[in-house]
Amino acid sequence: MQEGEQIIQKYKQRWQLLRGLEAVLYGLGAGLCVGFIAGNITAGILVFLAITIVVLGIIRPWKIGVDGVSTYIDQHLNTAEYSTGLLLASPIGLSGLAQLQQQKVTQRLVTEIGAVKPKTGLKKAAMISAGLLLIGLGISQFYAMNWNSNATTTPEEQLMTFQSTDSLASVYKPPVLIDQKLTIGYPDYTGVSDRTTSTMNIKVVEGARLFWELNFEGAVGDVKIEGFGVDIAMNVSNAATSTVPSSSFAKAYTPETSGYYNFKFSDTLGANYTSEIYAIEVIKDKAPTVKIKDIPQFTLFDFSDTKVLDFAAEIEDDYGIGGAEIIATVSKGSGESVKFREEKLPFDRSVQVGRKSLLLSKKVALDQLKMEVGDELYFYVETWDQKTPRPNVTRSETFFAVIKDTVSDDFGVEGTMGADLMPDYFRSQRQLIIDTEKLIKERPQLTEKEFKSRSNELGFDQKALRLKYGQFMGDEVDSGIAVTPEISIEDFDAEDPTAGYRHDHDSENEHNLVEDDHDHEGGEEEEKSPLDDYLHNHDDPEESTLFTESLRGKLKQAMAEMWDAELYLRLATPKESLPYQYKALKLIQEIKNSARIYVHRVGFDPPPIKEEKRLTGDLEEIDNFYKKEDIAKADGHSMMRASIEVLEKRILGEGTLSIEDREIFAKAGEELATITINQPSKHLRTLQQLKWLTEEKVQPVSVLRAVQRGLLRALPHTTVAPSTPVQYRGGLEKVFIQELQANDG
Amino acid sequence: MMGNLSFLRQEWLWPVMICAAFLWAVFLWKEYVQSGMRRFFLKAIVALVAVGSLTAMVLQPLLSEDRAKGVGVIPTQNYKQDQLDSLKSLHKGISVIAYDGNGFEKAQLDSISKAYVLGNGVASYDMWQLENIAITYTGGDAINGVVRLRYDQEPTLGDSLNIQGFYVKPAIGNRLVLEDAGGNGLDSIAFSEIENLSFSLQAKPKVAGQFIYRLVEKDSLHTIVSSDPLPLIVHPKSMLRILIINTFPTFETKYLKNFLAENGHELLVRSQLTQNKYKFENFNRKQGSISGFTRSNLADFDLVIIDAGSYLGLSSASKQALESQMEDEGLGVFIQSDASIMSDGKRFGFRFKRNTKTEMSLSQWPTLKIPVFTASFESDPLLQPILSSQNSVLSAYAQKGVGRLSTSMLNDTYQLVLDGNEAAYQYIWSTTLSAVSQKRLPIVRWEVESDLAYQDVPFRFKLRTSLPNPEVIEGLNNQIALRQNLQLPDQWEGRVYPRETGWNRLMLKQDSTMTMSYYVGDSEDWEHIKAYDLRQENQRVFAGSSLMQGVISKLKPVARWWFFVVFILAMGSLWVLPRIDSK
Repeated sequence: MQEGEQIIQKYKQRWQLLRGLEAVLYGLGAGLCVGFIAGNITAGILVFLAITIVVLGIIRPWKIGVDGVSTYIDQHLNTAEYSTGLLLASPIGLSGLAQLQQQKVTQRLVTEIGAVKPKTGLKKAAMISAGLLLIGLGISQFYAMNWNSNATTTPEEQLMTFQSTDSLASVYKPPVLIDQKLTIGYPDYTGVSDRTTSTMNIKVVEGARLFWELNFEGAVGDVKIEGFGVDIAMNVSNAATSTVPSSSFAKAYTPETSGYYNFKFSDTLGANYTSEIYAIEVIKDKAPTVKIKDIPQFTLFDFSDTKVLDFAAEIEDDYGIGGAEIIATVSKGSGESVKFREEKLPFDRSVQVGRKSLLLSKKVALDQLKMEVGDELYFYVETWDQKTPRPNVTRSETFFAVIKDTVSDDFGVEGTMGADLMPDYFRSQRQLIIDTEKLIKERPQLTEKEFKSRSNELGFDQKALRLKYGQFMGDEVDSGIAVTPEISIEDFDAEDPTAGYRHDHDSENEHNLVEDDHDHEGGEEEEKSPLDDYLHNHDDPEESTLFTESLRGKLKQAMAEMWDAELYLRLATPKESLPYQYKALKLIQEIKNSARIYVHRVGFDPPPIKEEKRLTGDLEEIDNFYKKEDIAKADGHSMMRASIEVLEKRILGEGTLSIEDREIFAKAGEELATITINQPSKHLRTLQQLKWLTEEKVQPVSVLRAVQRGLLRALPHTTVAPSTPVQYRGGLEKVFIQELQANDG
Repeated sequence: MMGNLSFLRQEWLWPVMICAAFLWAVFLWKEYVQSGMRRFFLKAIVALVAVGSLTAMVLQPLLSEDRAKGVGVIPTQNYKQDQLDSLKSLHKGISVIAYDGNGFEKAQLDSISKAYVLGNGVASYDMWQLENIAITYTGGDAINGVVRLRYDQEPTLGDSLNIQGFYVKPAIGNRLVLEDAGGNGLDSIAFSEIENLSFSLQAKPKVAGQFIYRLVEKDSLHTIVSSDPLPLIVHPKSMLRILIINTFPTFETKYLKNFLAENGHELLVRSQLTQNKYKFENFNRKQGSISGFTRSNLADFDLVIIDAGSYLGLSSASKQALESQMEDEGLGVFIQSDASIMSDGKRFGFRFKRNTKTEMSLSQWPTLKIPVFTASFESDPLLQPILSSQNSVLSAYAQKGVGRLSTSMLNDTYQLVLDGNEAAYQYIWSTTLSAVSQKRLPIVRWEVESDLAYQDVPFRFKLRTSLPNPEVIEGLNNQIALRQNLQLPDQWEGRVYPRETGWNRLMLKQDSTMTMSYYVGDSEDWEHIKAYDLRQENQRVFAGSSLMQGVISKLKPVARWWFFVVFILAMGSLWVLPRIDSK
């Protein structure tokens, strides 16, 4: 076959395939539609096959021939120059021009054939098919809902299974449950519509109303719901007549706590049947949450500011918000004259009741609240949900806003001390010691002269320090021990007559830290003591009242030590001066410390106690105090423990389960239920089996073992506690103790 | 020779001799009457021979016989086949004596003087049968399993159960699991080496009563390799009657009293308010108060907890009452320590050494620091430690008569509760107060030789009681004979042969509440321990008997046949003699 003919053949096949696909699409759409509606795969497949065949018959893709294709290409491809027919002809017997044209068209077709789209209804088919599919789905969903709500029967696999609780195997066919329904009625405020289900393990919100409906085939005496502490008898929905026994039962109940329940029914002959255990989990309606955004916890305004608070509150609740408001408290004044005013402010926009989440904003102008300088505003957002009878209420954190008061005075309690006894220059003795030690260390590097000069300078500093302490003692500057500037030989300058009196290094302003605004007139300078104001008696140092006597003694001693220290410094033997300096430092420290104690002591002056009056109070009206309490922790698992012991005996074959045993198991079941609520997956099976044991039907040993095992696992660990040991005391022990005591001495 | 003559029917000797003498006398008389003195003496002698042999036939004289006995081999459970084979090839004609734990055939043992015991050995109650035989014990196939086990069979609820054992040649990958009565795994140990292993498993029983815990060995695929019972009698907690005396309320007392009262103990707390005025708190008991101690009001308490100040402030009468109640009745006294005790311990009856440690820790809670006083107990022969840590005693008691006087170095233990370490707090006080408090005195104390009993195997028990003639009943109504100890008249011994597996019970006839329960296991229970113990015992018992004993002489009755021949000959000659005379 020639290349051109091959191309056309391929094109034909493709076209046929696409038309076939079109038919399949129609079939598929129709088939799926019917399949969904009927809920039956076979019907779907049959329809699919039928429609596909019918459409194929209409389209007839096999009718597409080579000639038709060639004409179609000629019509849709200009470059083919209406010559595709040539390709089909055999080159033999064609004219040269025809052959040339054949080759030319072949080459063109190779590259351009892709541009020619075969004419198909594929798009239409796909759309119709999709449409059919959607219709099918929609109808099936609608039907399913309808079917569910109108269903009169529950699928068999979902039905509860009942076990006979009597030991005698029933010889007749027991009544069979054919339908079970549980309608959960949510509280009105939740806005959730009632829901009907056939599963008996449920989670419901607090306050929900449960409504069970059970339908039996066969005669049933009565039906009970067990497990809410009390057995609830179910009401008969269709009264028994002579021909039709009662077979439909219903009961409504509003559970308050999570728990377990099971159904128990008895047939007309008195045989009992019990179902498995089901759980009801009561979920608390959560309180709404509130978050305040766009505002710091504490806002401070100046008087001149625009005093506006702008914030937003984000509120969320699980079933719908009931309301929200801002509680603002304005406090005016301070101390004992403080006044509070509380206001409830609405949000800018009214609260949409019933919404699950809200974003509310508020602008509070402090001026509108009649707040003045120094006033404070505390506010929080309170929100509540729609829960009845009592809504859950949540408060946000409290936020503060204050208008600053710039003219307030601080009243300082600590300002009662007359004199600050700790002037800074008390510290310089330590500095002197450091300098002296430094000098001793540097001695090898220094010349003799330099060393002596520095030692002398330190001696002067020591003197200055001593004199300053002297001022505290009440020593006057004119009492002859003032800091007399000395004339140093090296520093003597004939040009400056005051030079001898102004020893720069010896002055306090040695490093020009303080502006030297006036010259010191030698000897005549009068330094004003910082303590002048506090001194009562300037004349006699002994009469100075600044320190108590012991402090005076210490200070005097310190000054004596300073004298000696200065002496050795002046003698250029700083090493020998150091011990005196240390002693002086120690004394000064003590003075400082005693000053501290003194401050505390003046605070409290207890009245003296007369020794003869001590412990002679009148105790007549004081009586012994008696108290009686039973606070032994109740063992919440005593019946579980008892059950384990009973089971051990029964497993080992000691007797059979008695009525008393069953009562113990029933109580143990209640104890276990409280544990099971928290860990249902772990203990539910045990609870179920324990329930079986309370019934009359004899259970195999394997069930007893399983229950014992489950109970042991559920029991919490015991705590260690003191106990009385048992000890036999016979003649031998008595002799032993006697011997022990005899040898003790 | 005649002195050694004995007869098989020794008891018939005199009657038979009398009969024989009479018979002979009759014969002599008849002969004298019939034949006169003719050959009288000859006939008399022959007749004597005949009567004598007749007598011998009846009495069966015994002759001692020296016999070289053979060698036997006694293969017992777990014997090595190759050992038996080599013994058979060594001793030709060795007799194999079967033993199934149920005694020996006497005849088989009679023929041997030396025997080899192979395997686990002979049960102790059958050893007496091998007394006259020289036994060589060779042992048997190696044991691999639990061979040693120790645990408290009768714990109190709340105590932890500690099971210690020794496992020989464990298989790698296997696990040893301690299971409770319901089969819940409580603790386990995995074997990672083939080395012999000492193991320890812990558990805390949750329920009081009689239970069978199990020690189960599982392989890596959780298949059970072995499962052995651990019979356990968990006693319920018994409540203490406690008196607390304080000069002023302290946090230490407050937390201690809360802990004790919440656990159900009866508590009377007296704290001083002012001069002669007190606050009395009664927990879990009827309203009551106490001022001075007397023996009668102290008899209501098992334990007195008293602070140092109150102890020193006791009047001499009160102190006397406290001491005599302690020494004679066993009252426990715990002195709450403070710094004053440490400096002057002698006034309280203790001696202390000063040290510098302010904190200690217990071995169970190594990271937990417990504040202590800076002193420690000086060792004293009468001082018994209760709690120790790092070689120093934290709390101890001194035996005073039958009672105990105790104190502790621990300071402000309530801090443990505040810090959330309740477990340590409870451990400290439970251990201390249990050790000090007055003991309950039972009428009877039962003691058993081994923890495990087996069906139809003698189970020995001891009984200590001050009752004059105790009678023990087993099962429904079988009285067990008891043997009194000569030196200790309050000690009795008995032996039962348990008939059924499971829990069995012994009961005192005088007081049916005084019972002892013991568990009788299957013969397969604890087979390794049983085998190990048996081997140890066989080795010990037969170690001294391995000396080869000489030839054993044995008395054997002379065959009657010989006497019969003599009798016939004698009778024949008596018959022949008259005929010779007549010819």
